[in-house]
Amino acid sequence: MAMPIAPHQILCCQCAVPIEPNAINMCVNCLNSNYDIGAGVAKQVQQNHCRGCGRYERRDGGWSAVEEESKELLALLLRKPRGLAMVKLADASFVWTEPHSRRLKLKLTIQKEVVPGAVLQQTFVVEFILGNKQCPNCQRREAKDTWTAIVQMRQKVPHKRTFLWLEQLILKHCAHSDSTNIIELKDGLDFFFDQRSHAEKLVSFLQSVSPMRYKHSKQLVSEDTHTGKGKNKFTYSVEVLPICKDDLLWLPRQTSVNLGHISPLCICCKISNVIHVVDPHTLQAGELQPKDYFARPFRAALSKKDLVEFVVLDVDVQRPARGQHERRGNGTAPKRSHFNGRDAWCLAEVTVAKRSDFGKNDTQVATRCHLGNVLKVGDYVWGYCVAAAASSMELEPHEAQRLPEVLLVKKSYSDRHHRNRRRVWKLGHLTKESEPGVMRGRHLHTADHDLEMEEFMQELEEDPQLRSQINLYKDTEALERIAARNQKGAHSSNIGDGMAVEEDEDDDDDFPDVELNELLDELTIGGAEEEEDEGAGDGTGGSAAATVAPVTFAPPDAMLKPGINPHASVEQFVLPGSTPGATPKFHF
Amino acid sequence: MAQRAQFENSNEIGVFAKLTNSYCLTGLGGSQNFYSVFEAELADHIPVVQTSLAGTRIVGRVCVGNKNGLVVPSGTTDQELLHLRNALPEGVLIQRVEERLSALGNCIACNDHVALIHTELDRETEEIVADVLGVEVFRQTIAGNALVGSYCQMSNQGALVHPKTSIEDQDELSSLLQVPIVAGTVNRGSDVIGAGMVVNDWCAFCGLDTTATELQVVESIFKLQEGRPSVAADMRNALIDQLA
Repeated sequence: MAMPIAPHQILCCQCAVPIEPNAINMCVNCLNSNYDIGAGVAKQVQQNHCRGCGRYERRDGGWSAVEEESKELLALLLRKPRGLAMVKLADASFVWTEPHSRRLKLKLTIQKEVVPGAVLQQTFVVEFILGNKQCPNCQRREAKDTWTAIVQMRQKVPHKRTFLWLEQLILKHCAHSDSTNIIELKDGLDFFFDQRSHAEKLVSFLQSVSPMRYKHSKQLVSEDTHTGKGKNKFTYSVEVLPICKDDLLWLPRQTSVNLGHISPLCICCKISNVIHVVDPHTLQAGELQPKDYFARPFRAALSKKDLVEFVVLDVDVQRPARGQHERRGNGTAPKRSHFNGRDAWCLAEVTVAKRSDFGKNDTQVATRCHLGNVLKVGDYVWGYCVAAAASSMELEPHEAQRLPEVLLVKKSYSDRHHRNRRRVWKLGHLTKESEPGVMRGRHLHTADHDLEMEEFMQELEEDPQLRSQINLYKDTEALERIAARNQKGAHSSNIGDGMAVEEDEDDDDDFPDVELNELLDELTIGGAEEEEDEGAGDGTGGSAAATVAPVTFAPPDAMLKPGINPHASVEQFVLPGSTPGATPKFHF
Repeated sequence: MAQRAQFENSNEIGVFAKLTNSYCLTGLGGSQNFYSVFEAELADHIPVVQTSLAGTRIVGRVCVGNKNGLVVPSGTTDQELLHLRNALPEGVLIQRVEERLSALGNCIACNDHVALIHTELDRETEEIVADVLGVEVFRQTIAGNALVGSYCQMSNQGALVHPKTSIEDQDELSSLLQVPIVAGTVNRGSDVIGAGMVVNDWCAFCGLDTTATELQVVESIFKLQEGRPSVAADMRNALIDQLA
């Protein structure tokens, strides 16, 4: 038999090789053959991953959005392998794998006390096979019409002005961010949600910005009679008042009494979450609450499409507006457009003639209006021919007799041609299921839509207060185009050609033009997409996967430690009672 | 000749048996298997006695003895003493000691000439051990362990000690015991030598887990190869041949 080579050595109890004595008195080879502490740990694990949202399935059946090679993903994966709970995990790191391989590899170092006093450590690689499995959210999305809550926003008017405005407000406040889908319908929009609370959030937002009422109902989809749990679909039907800005109203008698005996004939001057009305003859103003409206509903007597353009022949200001007086006293002449809301009003006797009649006949109309401080002789102004339209208002005969012939509503800037060519800004858009003007595959009047959009943008240009509530973006293309045109114009005028400078139409001080400093730089993601951040997402960060840099790179050969068994190499023994950080006493 | 044995599924047979050159004690097991192993091997030469000591079965750990005598702890009952007196050969002295460290087998390791004892054992006990067993007594530790009886096993031929015993300690022990010493293991790497095996001058019993390698070490150090002359004998023969 072979005796120990050196006196301080002993024979390995299994193979009789002389070794240094250690805690279990065995040589490395025998240890490897006797104890495989990694044997109980699964080396290949299935890991499900949802292609729709990029989330990983957790062991408890939930789904987590985690970045690739992040510590969160590491934690998620480490819960998976069977048997890993039985050993002490000393270290874990990702081994880089080719994404197309559909594999994730973790290099694990585990420790286990095989006999009292002997802790073995082993390093090996666990492979996770990425399987495709749709998460419940994506499943529901994939199977159509499986929303949980829907907000149906409707306004029963023939135009879309309100919705163009609300769209901008929603965009500014990101109120749509939880919606899974948005569909444009004839009289409004449908917002779809995964959760009821998200729908309620949108409804309460709408409640704060528009005059509306809503009704909610639920439908039982399925019910478990054993647990008493049911699944419902919730519908929020939001009805926006069919009254728009600049509409002419004939208030029901009780309503006008409630608003402080305001004249029943008044103009809607502003819409917030209530309706602001003003009587242009007396400047008396009032706010009509939606619930008051729905107690005695009425429709606008005349609306925007009935507006007629007049020419101002004479202005006789009755009393100066508040504020204006003082400013004049200061000797400073502010731009008129600085007056907004009530301060802009000033009672005046105005003589107008229809623009279409101008030069044809001498018909003149004298009327009182609230636009005393924005009108001057020669201006154009929009107004309603009230007396002529009396038949549409269902009035008593004596009331019809007292109607004014003309009611002026707002100043007209229609003499400013080519406004869209000078426009250097643009608006964001909600990402809807279909193109604007297209509803469920059927084409609505696209031309109407473009026209309404143009009118809406002109309205924004005319009203700084309105546009201060929403986001306007720089239209870089238009800016470049205008710069190029100006350069060309300057060049040709140098030659001496007088016809060149076409843009310099009267830049009258009145016009509240959109300043460059009001505009926002557009946020572009990925450099290409013009659409701003895609709201119809599921909120789980589906795009996160692409942008994240890997956290740790283990070199590909790191797992191949020199050793007899490439999978398992016993590295050290640890004495019992030694702290984890302490230097191990025995090294092989 | 070294054999493997097991006491009721335990490999620590040195706990349940005490083997000397003139007698063998075994604990009272649930079955006769353990006893039979010893009886089959030893009955022709020495008495094999089944007994309890101080009411326990761990006879190997509570008593210490050699061919001259047997020292038992204070808890040993008169009945047990009587039984031992009747069963053991005539010349063997039996002595009960009042000792705080009552697991005498763990604290004392001995052959027929020398005993190593725990460093904190009473002086009276030391004297009794010296008188009854007829040995020279040394207070020693083995690989830093005071429980010399647990961590070493010795006969008149050699001694097996704890695997981590340093080379200096081995030299010192060897010079005290006047026998060759080797560090080793029993029961597949266990370092509690005294509990894992029993040995006398012509045979040894190890736990069932003991590997062939360990058995070989045991046989070689305790010179148990029957019919095979030991290396030393070989060399002596060769030497005498040359001198003649």
